[in-house]
Amino acid sequence: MTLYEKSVAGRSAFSFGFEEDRAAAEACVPEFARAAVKPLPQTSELDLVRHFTNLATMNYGVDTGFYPLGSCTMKYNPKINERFAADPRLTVRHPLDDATDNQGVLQMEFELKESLQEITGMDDFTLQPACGAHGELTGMLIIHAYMRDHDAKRTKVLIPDSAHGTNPASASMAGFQVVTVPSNERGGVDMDALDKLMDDTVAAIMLTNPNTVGLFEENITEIAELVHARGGLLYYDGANLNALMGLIRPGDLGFDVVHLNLHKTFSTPHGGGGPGAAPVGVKKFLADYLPIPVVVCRDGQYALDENRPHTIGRMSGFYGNTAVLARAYVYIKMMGRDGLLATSRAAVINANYVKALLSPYFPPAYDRPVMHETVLSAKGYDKYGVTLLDIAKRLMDYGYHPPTIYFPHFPPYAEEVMMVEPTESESKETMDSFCDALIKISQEAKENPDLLLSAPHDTVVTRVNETYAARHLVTSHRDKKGT
Amino acid sequence: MLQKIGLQFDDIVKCFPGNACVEGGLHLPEGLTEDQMVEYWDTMMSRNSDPKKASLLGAGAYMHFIPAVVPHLASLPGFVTAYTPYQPEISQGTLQSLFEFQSFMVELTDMELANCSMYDGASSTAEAMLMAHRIKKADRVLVAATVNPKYLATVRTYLEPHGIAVDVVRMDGNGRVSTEDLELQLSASACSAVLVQSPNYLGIIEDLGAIGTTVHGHDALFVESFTEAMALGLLKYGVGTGADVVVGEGQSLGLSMSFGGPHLGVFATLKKYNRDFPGRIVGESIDTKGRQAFVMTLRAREQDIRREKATSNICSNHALNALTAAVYLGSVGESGFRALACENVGKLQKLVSGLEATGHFTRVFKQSPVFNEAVLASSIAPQDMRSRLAGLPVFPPLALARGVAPEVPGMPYTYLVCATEMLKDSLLGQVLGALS
Repeated sequence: MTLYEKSVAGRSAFSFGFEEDRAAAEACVPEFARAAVKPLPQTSELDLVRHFTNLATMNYGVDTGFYPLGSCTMKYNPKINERFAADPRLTVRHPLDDATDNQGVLQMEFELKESLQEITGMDDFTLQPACGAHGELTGMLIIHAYMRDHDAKRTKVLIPDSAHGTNPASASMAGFQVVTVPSNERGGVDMDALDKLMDDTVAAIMLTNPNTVGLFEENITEIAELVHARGGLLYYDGANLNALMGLIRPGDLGFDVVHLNLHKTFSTPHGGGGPGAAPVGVKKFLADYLPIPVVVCRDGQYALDENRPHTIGRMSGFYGNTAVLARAYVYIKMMGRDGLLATSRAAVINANYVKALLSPYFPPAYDRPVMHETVLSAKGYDKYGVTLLDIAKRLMDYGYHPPTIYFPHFPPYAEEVMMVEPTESESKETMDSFCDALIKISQEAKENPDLLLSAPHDTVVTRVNETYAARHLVTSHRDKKGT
Repeated sequence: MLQKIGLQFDDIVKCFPGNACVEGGLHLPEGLTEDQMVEYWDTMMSRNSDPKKASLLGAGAYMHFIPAVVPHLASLPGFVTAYTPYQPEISQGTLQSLFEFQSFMVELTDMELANCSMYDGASSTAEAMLMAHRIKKADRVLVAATVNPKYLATVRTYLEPHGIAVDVVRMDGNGRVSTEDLELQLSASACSAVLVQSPNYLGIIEDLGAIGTTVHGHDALFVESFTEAMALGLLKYGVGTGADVVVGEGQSLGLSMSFGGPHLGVFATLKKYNRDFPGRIVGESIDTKGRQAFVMTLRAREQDIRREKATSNICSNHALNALTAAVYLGSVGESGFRALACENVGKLQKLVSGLEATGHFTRVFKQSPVFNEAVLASSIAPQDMRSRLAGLPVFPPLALARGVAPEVPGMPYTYLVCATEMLKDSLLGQVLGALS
């Protein structure tokens, strides 16, 4: 039941020391006041509290249990981060107030920027982008502006077929034509294809490393040399940086632009679909193209620098998702040098451990060590009449969030693959139990496939009909009423 | 575990190019413990000025009262620590909350369909212009000179690489977009969209209905934008004023300013554009037992399916802030939201007449109606303004650059002054005292 359906006329949780004075307000804005009453629900505070508290229990989060959603890095979100993000000294700060009144917040942002520069090996950063795809767009706009100034015939961007969908969408939104690069039999970029495609109309290649199948791009040095030698730039999608911290840096691998997902690698909570934050780092020669303003430090005073002559402009109204940046900042401060390295080591070991446990039942797509996540196949199960989707839904009955399924979309994956990313947060016991459940489900598939076909059984709703939703489009209460 | 894997860690990472590996560790300090972190944070935050109780500063971010129930419910871990609701059976909490948010946005904007959030008002506005371009295909859009300059800059950033010209429609003598110039520019050559903001950057309420009629005399989409969502409680938007898209900033709906983010992009449009709009949307459906259930729908527009042909690259959005706004609107309710809007109008009137009575201020564009912001000319210089207000818990108003508003003799400085329900009468009295 929605709040509207629980609404009772006259009820309210409103507690302010004034009442509606519509006549006076309307007198100030005579012809612009809306005549019609805007219907919002009318509920008491207790009804409201119960409504949303119950909804929260209908959700599965990292705090509920194991969430091995590949490529999404659902690690633990430390609670101390939330305390700082809710600090009134941060939340009650107007973004246009004078920099001299905001030295604490700006110091936090500047120190975060410095840490990210060190972790990635880049020279400068903008903290403005709101999430991964926004970071990609920012980075590609920087490359677009740079090429416009230096080599305007470069209008194409190369993107591996294994890339996340946001990569081609962002490149296209930044005005580029997208050219797909096939993968080779080891899951990396096909070097012969790259050699053929990398001509003087290509502005850049976008790479995720480790890539979206959890494999380190073995030929990264050769790729960087080839692309640079032919006048292109390298873009690093940092969605999977969680495998590399303290081990190797994108800046040292030859990348010119990177974006980071603070809501993945740097532990900020995902909020059921954001907000995140995705700072973009660049090498020195691109620093003038960063969106304005950029946080800087001059003689111990922090400031917002608007003077970037080649800036691409603004990506949003203000300076970025400060409260999200604060969480990531605290995470880095508390992990420190050794903690970040230990994080990446554990993330890699955990993924290889899960792969080792599950390989006999769900063979890995590639027979080589993985980084922070592993792609496993459920292809053989069709002979029992079950699909990967059924296996994933059955996992819910065992109390787990399913891995990412049916991604990536290209051969040899296209069909029954799942991407498991345990993250460093999880204990051996948790991973053992999860693998036991998947192994048990693989038995059930053979012995009692109906259990899987009708799963999940123990959730608040059973399988939701997506086709019905699209055919009977109801996206608001107004649609329900049919008015 | 390594035994089970059958490899040492170094074997796993031997594919790394050796010359690029980090030698001797990152140059970062040792990690802090929780208690050390609290101390470090406190020292750092003490470098900010003292906390404020109200703000004369608006211009795109607004200080409003946030009922205790809002952050309480919005920070329940079930909501906070979940991912995007790809698996609807265990994500009904997020999905239903977003459906409720969409419902509220449809009512408040008076549109037919609202997505479940964009990043912020500026980027949402830019995406609306891109959508209009996809639909109308003309490589030119018009933006009112009265639109918040940061929104205009964002629109330019998004449209520039596509070679779309962004032409500005000038302001008239009343601080509103000139309908004459609009008509002239619309007749000059084809354009995909006209963007107008109300209340505009100068706080003035634009005549959206009249502008809508003008726009629809030509083959362009009418994009209405707002920076102050509180205005939705009183003013007309949407189909009644001829809008094809209503976009704006939802920060005022229970979200703190937090030095600029995360805020909340609102995006609402007409059903005929349901294959064209950016972002995610939740639809009502049924489960296998015929029970009500929610699920993300109209997915064929999105980047994970359409890749470079998607309507937008947007993936993660500001879902938790949309949920927060839903809780806020549920909390203040129908009459409360209207009361808040009216209180904001009244508070600004009180502040403006009080400031004018000091003799140091006079309102510019006196004939034009305003919501909770207005432009005032003043004899007080910005530095003086700051020091006079320094002892009070208010953010000083925004000093506007010369030329934004017409000059008033003897009052060389102009301010964009904001008042919300946070400016209690006692504090208002102190502000007026300090500026007398």
